[in-house]
Amino acid sequence: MRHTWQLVGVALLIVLLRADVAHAHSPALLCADQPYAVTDATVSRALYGVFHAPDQVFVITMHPATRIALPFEILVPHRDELRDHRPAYAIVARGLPRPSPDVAARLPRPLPDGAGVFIDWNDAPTREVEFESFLRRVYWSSGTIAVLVPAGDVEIWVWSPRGTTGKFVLGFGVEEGGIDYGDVLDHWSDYAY
Amino acid sequence: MCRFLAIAALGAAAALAGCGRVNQSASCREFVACVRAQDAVDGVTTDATRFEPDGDCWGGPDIAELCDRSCVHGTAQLRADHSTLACAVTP
Repeated sequence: MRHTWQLVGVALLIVLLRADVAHAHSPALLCADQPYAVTDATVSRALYGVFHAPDQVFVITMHPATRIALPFEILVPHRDELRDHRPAYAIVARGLPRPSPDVAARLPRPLPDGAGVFIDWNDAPTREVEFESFLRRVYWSSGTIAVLVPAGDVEIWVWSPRGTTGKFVLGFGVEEGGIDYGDVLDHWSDYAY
Repeated sequence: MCRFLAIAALGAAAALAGCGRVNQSASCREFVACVRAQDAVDGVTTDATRFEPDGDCWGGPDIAELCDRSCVHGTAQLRADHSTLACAVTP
């Protein structure tokens, strides 16, 4: 019995120590009906959404004070029914390259005047598979890429070019320690799968 | 008791050892060089701190691996967008 309590105590100590050094993105839920505002582009994010209809567009806004280099990727739960689910994302801002008319026509909405775009179509023949250590789930990834996000008004659009529905996660930034895990436990089924 | 705690402490230390910092990867060194070259062209200073030698990218092997791949693709994209960008890094 005494050893059991000692084991529990040591286990708790290890968990606390690990939590102190654990790194994660700051999680939040996206809703297709309203833009999600990123207040601080320097804090990394994992934004969870669900396409319930093929024509939905998720919008994220941010306003970096200076141009900032951030890794981006989009993840889909590694499940058979989502094998063809490949949401795309576009970073829309002044200072990014202007797309050709053909490419612009494939975007889910017209570009604002003067804006350019970085697009990840998430169409690589073979997708990377990632183990996400925060929720401990396995995902297909579009492939992470470092993007120069201009200063000023920036929008990120997430849509489903193939019209598929289902869950996705847009991740950007580099995981930091000391992240506020917010309402993850209260809305576990929205975050995990 | 003391022996037990000593073993447990060693176990905890071993668990934490896996979280140590790693060195900046060659691909991210090249990416940062390309960003600085583009900064010089555009007259701005990009916040690339996370990819620099003391950045968050190098806080552990898993994050470092992700950043490394991110830099490979990011550098390719920069070169595609700016064909005249000169940012070769000598080893």
